[in-house]
Amino acid sequence: MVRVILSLLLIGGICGTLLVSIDKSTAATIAANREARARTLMLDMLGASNETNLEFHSEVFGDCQDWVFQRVQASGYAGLIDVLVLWRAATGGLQMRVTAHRETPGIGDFIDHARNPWITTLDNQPPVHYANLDNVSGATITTAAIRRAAQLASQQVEDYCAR
Amino acid sequence: MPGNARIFSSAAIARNPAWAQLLGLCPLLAVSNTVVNALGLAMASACVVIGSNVSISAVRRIIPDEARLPCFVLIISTFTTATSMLLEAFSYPLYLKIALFVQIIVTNCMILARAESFAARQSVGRAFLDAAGTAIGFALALIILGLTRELLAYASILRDAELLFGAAASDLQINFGAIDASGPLPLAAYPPGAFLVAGLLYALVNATLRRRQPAQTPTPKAMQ
Repeated sequence: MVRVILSLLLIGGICGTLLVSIDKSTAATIAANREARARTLMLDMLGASNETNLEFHSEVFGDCQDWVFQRVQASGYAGLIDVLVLWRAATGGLQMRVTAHRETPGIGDFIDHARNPWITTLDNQPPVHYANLDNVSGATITTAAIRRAAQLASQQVEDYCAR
Repeated sequence: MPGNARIFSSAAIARNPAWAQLLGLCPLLAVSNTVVNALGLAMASACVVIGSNVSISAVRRIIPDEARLPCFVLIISTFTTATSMLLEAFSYPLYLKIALFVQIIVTNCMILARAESFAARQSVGRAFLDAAGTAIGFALALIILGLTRELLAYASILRDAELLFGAAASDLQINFGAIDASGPLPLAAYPPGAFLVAGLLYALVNATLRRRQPAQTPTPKAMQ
């Protein structure tokens, strides 16, 4: 029994050390890649030019007279789903794009706009529309996560603009 | 055939994980819609199977039998996570396309099967040869399926090559019709098409192998 525990601890320690060292050497590049993609997505959602200043200084930013961007997270079937949300003052509608997820390929990955246009068909719909979204068969937890993300985003915008 | 060459060729061809053992079919069918995606997954799988087989062989004497499976899974998941992080850092556009399937390499029966049946019982050198053969066999299956599906679905070869080889590689794409035109069987780009094409290729491989084997006349004893 002692030998089993010791071998598990030893293998776990070696594996953990290897992963920590790879994480340290790649973390900055990965963060830069994610930021660049988020910026491209934001420009695309706004229909703006490259010169537009879109830097996330906090999880919510923007001018409440025009638009507000925010990042929200909701629990999906296989972990957290990261969502980028644009709220437009003119329509009061939300635009959402999933930036990271681990949903089951072919079942829950319809939320990824690069694989399926489903989420783009909801663009500029008011929060109440998102709250009443039908569950997608076989991916009810994933759909519930999108409803939750829209609810969180709507609440955050209200709080942000009330300040 | 010398022992080392036999280990390699047996792992790559005779016991090809995809065509002979039907292992790792989920990522094989899901990602092989283009040659570039297939190559990306083949390289990621190769990193995991070679890294984990060599590591398991190196530490096999300190792993007691009772802790064999958790230790193997720990090592395989470490290499899968490391591969996923390296891909996300250095090939981000390709990562976005195949990330979900790289993460599930950890559950690929092909890798655990080689660890359990070969690497855990053999020296590091022999485990490396077996893993390299398995990786090349899986890569061959992926690339053949990717090539066939891409030709049928898009009438092209090496579509999106820049995802894997950099911006300069976009000229590598060969089109057999107008750019972005559909091929003769657009269904081949989707999962049902993957099943059809893989099934037909599997039948072709089996038919070819059977034709090469000499016909066996049943003996009277076997007929009883």
